[in-house]
Amino acid sequence: MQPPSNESLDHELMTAIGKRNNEAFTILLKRHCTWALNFVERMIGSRHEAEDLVQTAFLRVWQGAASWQHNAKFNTWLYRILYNLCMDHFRTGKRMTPDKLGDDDHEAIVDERPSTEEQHLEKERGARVRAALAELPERQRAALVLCYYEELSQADAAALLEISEGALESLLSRGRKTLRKWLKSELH
Amino acid sequence: MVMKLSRFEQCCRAYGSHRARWPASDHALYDYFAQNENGASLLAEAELLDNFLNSFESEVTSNEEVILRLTSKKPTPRLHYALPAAAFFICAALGGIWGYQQAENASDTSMLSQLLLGPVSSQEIEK
Repeated sequence: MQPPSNESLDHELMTAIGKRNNEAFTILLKRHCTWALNFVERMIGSRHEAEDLVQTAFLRVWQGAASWQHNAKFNTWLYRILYNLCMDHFRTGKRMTPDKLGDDDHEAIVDERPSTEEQHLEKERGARVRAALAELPERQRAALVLCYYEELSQADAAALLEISEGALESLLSRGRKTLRKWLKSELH
Repeated sequence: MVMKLSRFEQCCRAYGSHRARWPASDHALYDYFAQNENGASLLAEAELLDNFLNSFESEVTSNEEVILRLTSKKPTPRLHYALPAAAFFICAALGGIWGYQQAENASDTSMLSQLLLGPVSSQEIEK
């Protein structure tokens, strides 16, 4: 899910939030919470911990709204907050912790119709990608998540990571190379 | 403009098989080699990894559900902040107590002269 692109609405909402308007904050939260949660989940691998970080991010949005620079794009600003929180999360010694399939997921196959089996397979495939992404160094994973899943332009992703576009390409190449190796070893 | 297969290969390895994910400056290169046998095989190889990555779909949840989960969630205590903060306050309190006890034991006049003149000068004055 991509961030919504109506910048002028975000600017209006941020102005209202700067004046402590709760309703505006709720609208902004509704517009951005889902993609923000998906982004953080892909970065750190755990839905549960991603919820914590997104909660903190929106608290920072509330706190920083009054001093927010209106010449900045809101999406870029929120990406920056989320990305920094993810890096802080890793700096505290927490590695990417991919969510595993829970007991409930396994029980679902036994109890329910065959259609759930397909859902379970999908979850398993998802868990394998999480495990593969967890093997990557943080910067390579960030580059991959931003360019592949978030579909940010090279310029925007490089700016967020504070590197050149050439360095971004190199991170992506190395990341995909590691994943290819991982995938080959999984298949054999 | 010279179209180089080596650059095409680099882009496949970095950006995958979808044209939209390639840098705009390399779109012409994509169009040129995607029709070519070598180019098509490189794209097919990149597509394998793309398909693998595509299976990481986040749980599809409505905005309302996400908001409900975020707002009902109690923030996890940040132990990595709490422990150094607690250690700091304990050290500060112990330092304060120790300093207070020292000040009580030493007489103010001798301490003041020592502070102003230094220990050697104050010993000479006492002689």
